[in-house]
Amino acid sequence: MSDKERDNIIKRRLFERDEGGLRELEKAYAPLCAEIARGVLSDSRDVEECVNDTLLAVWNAIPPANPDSLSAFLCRIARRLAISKFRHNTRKKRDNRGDVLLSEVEEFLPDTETEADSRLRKLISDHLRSCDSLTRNIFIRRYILFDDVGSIAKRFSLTENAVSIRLSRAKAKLAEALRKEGYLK
Amino acid sequence: MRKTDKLTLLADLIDDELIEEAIRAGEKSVTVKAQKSRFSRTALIAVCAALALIVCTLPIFYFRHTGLPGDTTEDYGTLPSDEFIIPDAPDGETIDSLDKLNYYGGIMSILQSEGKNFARFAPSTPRLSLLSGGGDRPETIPNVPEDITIQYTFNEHDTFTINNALYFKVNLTTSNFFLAERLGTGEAEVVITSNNIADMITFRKDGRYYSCVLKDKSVSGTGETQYVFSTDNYIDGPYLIKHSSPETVDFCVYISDTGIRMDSRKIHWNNVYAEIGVVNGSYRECNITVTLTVAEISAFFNFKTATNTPALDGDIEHIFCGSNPSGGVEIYLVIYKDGTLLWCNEAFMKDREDSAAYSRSGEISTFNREFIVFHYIDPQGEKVICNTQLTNSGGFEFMGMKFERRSTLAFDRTDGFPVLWFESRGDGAEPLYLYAAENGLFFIGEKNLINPLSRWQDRKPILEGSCRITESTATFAYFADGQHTVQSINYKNGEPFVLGEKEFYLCDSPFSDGEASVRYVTREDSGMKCEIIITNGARYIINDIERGVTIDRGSVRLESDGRSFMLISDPETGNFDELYITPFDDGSIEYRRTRFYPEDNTN
Repeated sequence: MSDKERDNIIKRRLFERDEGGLRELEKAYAPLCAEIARGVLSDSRDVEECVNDTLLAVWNAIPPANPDSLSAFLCRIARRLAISKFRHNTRKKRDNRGDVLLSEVEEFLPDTETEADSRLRKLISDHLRSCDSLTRNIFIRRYILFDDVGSIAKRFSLTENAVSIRLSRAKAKLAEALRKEGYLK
Repeated sequence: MRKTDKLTLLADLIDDELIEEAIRAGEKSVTVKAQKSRFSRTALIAVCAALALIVCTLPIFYFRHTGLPGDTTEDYGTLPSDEFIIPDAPDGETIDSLDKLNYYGGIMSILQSEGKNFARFAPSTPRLSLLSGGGDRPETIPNVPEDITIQYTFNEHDTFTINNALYFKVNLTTSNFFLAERLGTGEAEVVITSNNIADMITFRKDGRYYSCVLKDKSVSGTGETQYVFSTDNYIDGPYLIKHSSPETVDFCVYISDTGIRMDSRKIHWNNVYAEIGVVNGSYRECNITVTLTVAEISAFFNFKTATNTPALDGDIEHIFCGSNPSGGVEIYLVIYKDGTLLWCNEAFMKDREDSAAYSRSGEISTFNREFIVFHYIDPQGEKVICNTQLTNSGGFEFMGMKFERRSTLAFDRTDGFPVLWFESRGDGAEPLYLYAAENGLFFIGEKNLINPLSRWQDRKPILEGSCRITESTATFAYFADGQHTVQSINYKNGEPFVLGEKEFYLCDSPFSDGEASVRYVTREDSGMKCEIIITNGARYIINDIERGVTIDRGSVRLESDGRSFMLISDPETGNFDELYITPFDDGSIEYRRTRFYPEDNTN
């Protein structure tokens, strides 16, 4: 059974409000959610809470939501919840794991008032598509899935230095592209 | 705009497909890494030795535990044995069951997570692409009892995604009644994985497996995580089975910062607890997601592989052959005849010349002059002639009888009549063998039964169907009186059961234990000859009996001299009561009847 087929089964079960679908979802995606949460949260209890909240959020969202990509959908929710938790912790000076990540994002991401700036989205997605697949995947794993550099290096059989270089080049190119389009000064 | 908002927003600015690709790409690369490895076996050994040396110099080091889904990420215990867990595939085995998939897949994922992507792959690793009748995935096993549900069926084309895996060793004792019965006592390996099929635990000892599935998981107030695996939901070869049984056994695994421990509980009227000692109290783990295929696992552990080649000439619709790097030709056969699967086997032959002279008429004549020489049974023509054991890798149909995968099939011709037998394993029990003859009769017994079915008087088929054998249950499906009938039998060795219109004995007790049973006795009216077939394969013909003897049922006891057998007649027929038979090395026998027939005065 392919992942796509599995995802479709899970979605169908969620639509039927079958709690077994939630268990399947947990089995398939809890590790991914935990991985994402761990990227910005240092407390294991926060990570676990984030995973549970993500699964609950998906349970509540589907239906009516019917995402094409279940993994990306979960990933987004997990990120939001993890960042939210991180923000809460930072406010109380509890956690600073995500600080480095934030400063890196600051380098290339513009301020935007609209959450769904379709032009910006197209620009960034197209730019990433123009990159080679390894760079693209490293970029997404770092800034979307919150993998740390060491994990990425291990995952792709690269040195940490090589990963860092690819990331900095990708960021620079993206910033340049955004500058050209007037998003960055 | 806050920095955290930017971070949140970033995910919304990237298309789903790109995120999905990155998620998948990460998983694949773990697999690809291993494929890219090109170390030789020598290099592997050298690296293993070097790493073992290094690890030995570091008596204790701590590692981070991420466990199964939902676990905390605290530090746990010490690293267990530095011994590498890279078992080579046993000769002749393939990954054809969920047990093996879980065991080998779990170990492979652990090795990869530890960065030990050694060159276990052969230089060329072709993917197995058949071996199970084209990858069909039946929803149910035919003819299973109603209280059994098939939840998943192994398919070698599936990918196996392992999210977490644990490996440790336990010491089985007789107090672990359930496992000891199936695996024996002593040190056994345990692999637990959380995978895309289920969360499974597999016990392995001496090539035997027992696997079941996670029922419950909880974390205590002290932070100890408890996993409960139940025999309610178990693995039987290629099948994940749900069996509603009033009596189950739970296996509980406890993981805490002091290590790992385990016990089992028999859930019945009174729960029975038994500790299962974990060797060293330690374990190894995989904490990354690894996606594997059966072909990759097979290659990693040096299982046999095959390269498909075009079908041979002949009137066979599908034959797959593959080369064997060790020499000769490894051949995998799937023969469909008029749309019917006849064979799905693997075999070994050195010479493909003269192969596949084969017609649709119902006769498979010489397939290979050196190896597979079998004749398809035609009641009017040639009989089966084949002395080659074929390992069945998938279901096959023969003479209207459907046999399941995971069986060993062989043909023989004895005394002019064909005999087919196959082996079927119960849950870790000794193999049982089912014999079937041209007339469709079945007989379950022990291995190497010689000519158990020849010269049976009744050649009327009484069974045509399938048989599924577990440790203590045989489930037959057959046509009788024009109706499809499924019958489950709880059997006990040596005791008779009735199936259809016949009474059978299930005998797998070797003679050495002092008892055996007569399978069948016939009489040749013309020759005053009596043939006695005994379950260990011996067949004795008693000549010169003035009166014919017919025994439909009976039993045999081995006498104290180890050679004489006392045959006890069926009390219902009362043909005779006792007959002592002593075989000699030259093939002759001596018999002595101790009680006469009521009308017999000759002896």
